[in-house]
Amino acid sequence: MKYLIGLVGVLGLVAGCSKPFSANKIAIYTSLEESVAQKLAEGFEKDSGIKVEFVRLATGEASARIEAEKNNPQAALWLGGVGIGHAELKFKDLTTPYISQTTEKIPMSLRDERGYWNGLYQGILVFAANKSQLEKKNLTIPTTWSELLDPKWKGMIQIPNPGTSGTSYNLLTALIQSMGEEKAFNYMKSLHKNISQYTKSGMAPTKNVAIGETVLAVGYFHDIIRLVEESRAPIQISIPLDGTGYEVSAVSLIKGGPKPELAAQLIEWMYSPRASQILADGYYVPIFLEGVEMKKEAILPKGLKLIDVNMDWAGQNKERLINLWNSKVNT
Amino acid sequence: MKDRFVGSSVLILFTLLLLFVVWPIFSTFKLSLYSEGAFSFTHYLSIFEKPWLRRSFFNSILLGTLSATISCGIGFLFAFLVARTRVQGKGALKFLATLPIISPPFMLSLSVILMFGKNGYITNFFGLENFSIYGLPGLVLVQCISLFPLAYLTILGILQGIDGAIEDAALDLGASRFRTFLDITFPLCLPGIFSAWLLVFVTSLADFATPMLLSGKFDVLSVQAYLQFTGSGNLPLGAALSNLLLIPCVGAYLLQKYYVQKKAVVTVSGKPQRTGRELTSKPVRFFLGLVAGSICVFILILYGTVLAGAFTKSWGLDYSLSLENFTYIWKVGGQTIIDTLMLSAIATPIAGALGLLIAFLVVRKRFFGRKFLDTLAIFPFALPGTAVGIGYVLAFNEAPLLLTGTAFIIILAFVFRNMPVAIESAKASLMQIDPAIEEAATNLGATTQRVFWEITLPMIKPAIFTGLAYVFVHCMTAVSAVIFIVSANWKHMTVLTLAQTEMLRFSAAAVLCLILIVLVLAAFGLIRLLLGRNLLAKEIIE
Repeated sequence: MKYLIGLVGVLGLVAGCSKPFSANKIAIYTSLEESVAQKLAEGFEKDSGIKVEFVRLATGEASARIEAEKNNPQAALWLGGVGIGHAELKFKDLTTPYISQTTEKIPMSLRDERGYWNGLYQGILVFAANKSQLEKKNLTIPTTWSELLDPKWKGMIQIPNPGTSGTSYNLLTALIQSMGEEKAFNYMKSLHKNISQYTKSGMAPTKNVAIGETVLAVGYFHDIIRLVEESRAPIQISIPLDGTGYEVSAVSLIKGGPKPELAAQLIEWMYSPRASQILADGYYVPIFLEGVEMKKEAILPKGLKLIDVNMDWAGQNKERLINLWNSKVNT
Repeated sequence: MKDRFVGSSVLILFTLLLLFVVWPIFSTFKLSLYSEGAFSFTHYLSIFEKPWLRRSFFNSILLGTLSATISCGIGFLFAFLVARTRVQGKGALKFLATLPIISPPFMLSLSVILMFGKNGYITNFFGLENFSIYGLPGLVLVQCISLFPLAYLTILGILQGIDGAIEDAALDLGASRFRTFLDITFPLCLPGIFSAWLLVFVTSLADFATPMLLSGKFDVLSVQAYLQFTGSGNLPLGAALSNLLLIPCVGAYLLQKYYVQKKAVVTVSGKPQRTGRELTSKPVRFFLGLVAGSICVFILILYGTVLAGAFTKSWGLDYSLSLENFTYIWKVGGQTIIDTLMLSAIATPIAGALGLLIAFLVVRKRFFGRKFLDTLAIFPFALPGTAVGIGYVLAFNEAPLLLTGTAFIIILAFVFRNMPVAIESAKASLMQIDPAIEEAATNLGATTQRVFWEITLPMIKPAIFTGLAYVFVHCMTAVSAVIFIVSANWKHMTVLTLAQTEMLRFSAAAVLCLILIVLVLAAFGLIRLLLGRNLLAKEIIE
C-alpha cells in the first residue's frame, strides 16, 4: 500500500504542477510569422491585460489540428493563415461566425459574408531570387510564370507543399483559376522537374533563397521584403507580369473553443491602430490603413494584375485537388 | 498470490498498461481499419495504390538497410579497435563513439546542412555546384553518425565476451592473424552484428527528425504519416501509414528477441575475460586507426559547427559573432525550455518507480500473467514514436480520458515509452543479486514491502540511477511522439527546434541544441554526484 500512496502522491504532485488556469489567459493557434505573433501577443497583453499563449502552425497543420481536436478544442481562435484554409474549416463546421461593427467595415471581398472568417491583411505572391546565385549562374530573375519552366532552372526552384502550406495551395488554386484545371496541373507537372524540394512551411523557400540554399522561390511579398530589410538578405524580387495570386490572411473563431469572450476581444483588437501598426511594421498591408504608417517598401495590392480565387470553391475542393497534385505532380 | 501487495500491484499495472500502451495502439488500428463506418482495408490498399505513398514505404526500407549496414561496419571497426588491438588514442575512440547518443534530434542534420547545404561552407569551399545533400545521401550520412554508437556498443559487448584464449589457441596453432580474425573472431561476433543491424534498422525506420529536415524529395514513412495526419488532416491515412511503420519495427524486435538471442554463442565463463593477443599487424592497425580517426574528426567538426552556429548572428547571412540568438531563444522559448525540463523531471521518477516495481515483480515473484506483464511493459520499446504519438492523440481526445492539451498526455507518453529501459536495467541488476538475502529477511518476519525497501532497493540503486538518467535523456530529446501531443499550454524544445529550422533560423536552432546538450550533461553530473561515480554513456545504453 505504501507504493499506492506513493503513486497517488506523485500524481498529486503532477496535478499541483499543472499551470493555473488563470482567467486572463487565452490559448490560440497562429500561422503568422513567429516574431510578429510575439509582438502582437505583447501588444494585446499591454492593452488588455490578457496573456496570449500561442502555438505557431502552418496553415495545413493548424486546420488539421483544429479538426483533430473538434471534440475538445484547445485553442480559442486561429490567427493568420491563408483565407482558403479558413474557408475550408467553415465547410467542415469547425468555426463560428463573428460579426461586429468593426468587421462589417471590412470590404466584402476580404471577409466571409456570414462572418465565419475575417481578413487581416492582403499579400501577393511574387518570385524571389538570390542575387549572388543569379550572378554566379548568369541567370536573370523571371517575370512570368511560364519562364519558371525553362530547363535552365532545373533543381533550383523551391515551393512549399500544397498539402501542408496554405501559400502553396493558394498558388495552385490561383493557377487553376487563371489557366483552368488541366492546364494548371500540366504546368505544375512541368515545374516539378525544376523543383529541388517541396517544403512543409510556406515561408521556408524564401528563407532558403535568403541564405542561398535555393536560387529561386515563390512566396509572399511581405515575407520576402521583411527578410531583405531586416536581415539584409541578398534577394531580388519580381512581381509576375502575367498576373499573380494573393492571399487574404484571416482570423476565425474556433467552434466550442475556450473563452470565446476573450477571443472576441482579441479579434476586435486585431483591427485597432496598434495592431494594424504592428502588422504594417512587419511589412504586411493591414485592412484599415487609417492612422497607420506604412513601410515605404510595402506594395499596396491596388493597381496590380491579380488573380481572384473563389475562396469557397477553393476550400471545398481542397482534398480533391491535393490528391490530384500528389498523384499527378509529386511523383 | 496470497500476498496482497503483489496482487494489487499486478492488477494496477495491468490496468495502466492496457490503458496507456494497448489502448492507443488499438485506437490507431481501429481508425485505420474503418472507412465510412464499415470495416475495410481501404486506407491500407490506398497506400499501395498511390505511388507517392507506396514509394515512401520502400524508401524507408532502403534507407534503413543502408544505414544499418554502414553503421554496423563503422560500429564493428570501432569495437574491434577498442577490444582487440593496441591502437593509440583508445580513450578518444571510446568517447567519440558514444558521444552522438546524447545529441539532440535535428542537431546533426542541422550541422550537415550548415556544412553541405547549397550554401554550406564545405559546398562553397569546394564549389560543389550541382551537389545536393537533401535526399538519400544526407539521410544515410546523418543516420550513420547518430546510430553507429548503437552498433558499436552492441558489438563491443559481444567482442568483450569472447574469451581471448580461443584466439590465442588459433594463433598458437599457427594460424595467421587474418585467418584467426576471419575464422574465429568474426564468426563469433556475427550474432552481435546481426542484432546490432536490426537495432539500427528499426531506429532508422522510426527516425522522424532526420528525414524531416533532410529528406528533400525522398519521402519516408515516418514523415509521410506526420504530413498526412497533421499536415493534411487525413487522420485515417496517417494512422494507416504509422501502422505500416509499426510492422517492420515490431517484426525486427521479435526476430531479435526470440531468434538472434537464442542463436548467440555463449563463451562467457562467468570469470572476467582476458583480451586476446594483438590481432593486427602494424600497417593494418595504422590504416584502420586512420579510418576511425577520420570519422572521429568528422564527428568533432559536426559538433563544432553547431557550436559556431549558436554564436553566429544569422547563419548564411551574417557570420559576425553574437549572443543575439540566446536572447531571442530566451524570449521565444524560455517557457518552452522550462516546460520541457518540468515534464521530463516529472516523468522520469514515475517511469523509474513503475519500471522498478515491474522488474521486482517479474524477477522475484511468481504470479499468473508474469511473462505477459513483462512482454507488455517492454513492448513500447519496439513502437515507433510516430505510432505512439498518433495513438495518444486518438485515444485521449475524448471523455472520459480527455487528456489532449494537458501536461498529463505528454508525461504519460514519456513514462510508458521510456519505462522499458528502466525495467531492463533494474531486471539485470536484480538477477545478479542472490534471492537468499531477501529470503533471509522474509524468514525473519519482514513483509514484502519491508524487504523491498530495506534490502532490495539499496542493493540495486546504481542500476536505478542509470535507468533514470537514460529515461531523462530520452524525455528531453523526444520528438517523434511528442510532436503530436504538444499544445499551446505545454511545449517541447525539440518541436521548437524544428520550427526554428523550418524558419531557417539556423543559429537559433543551434542555440536550442546547445542548451539541450548542456541540460543533459548537467543531469548526468547530478546523477554522478548522487551516485558518487562517473556515469558513462555506455551504461546508459545498457
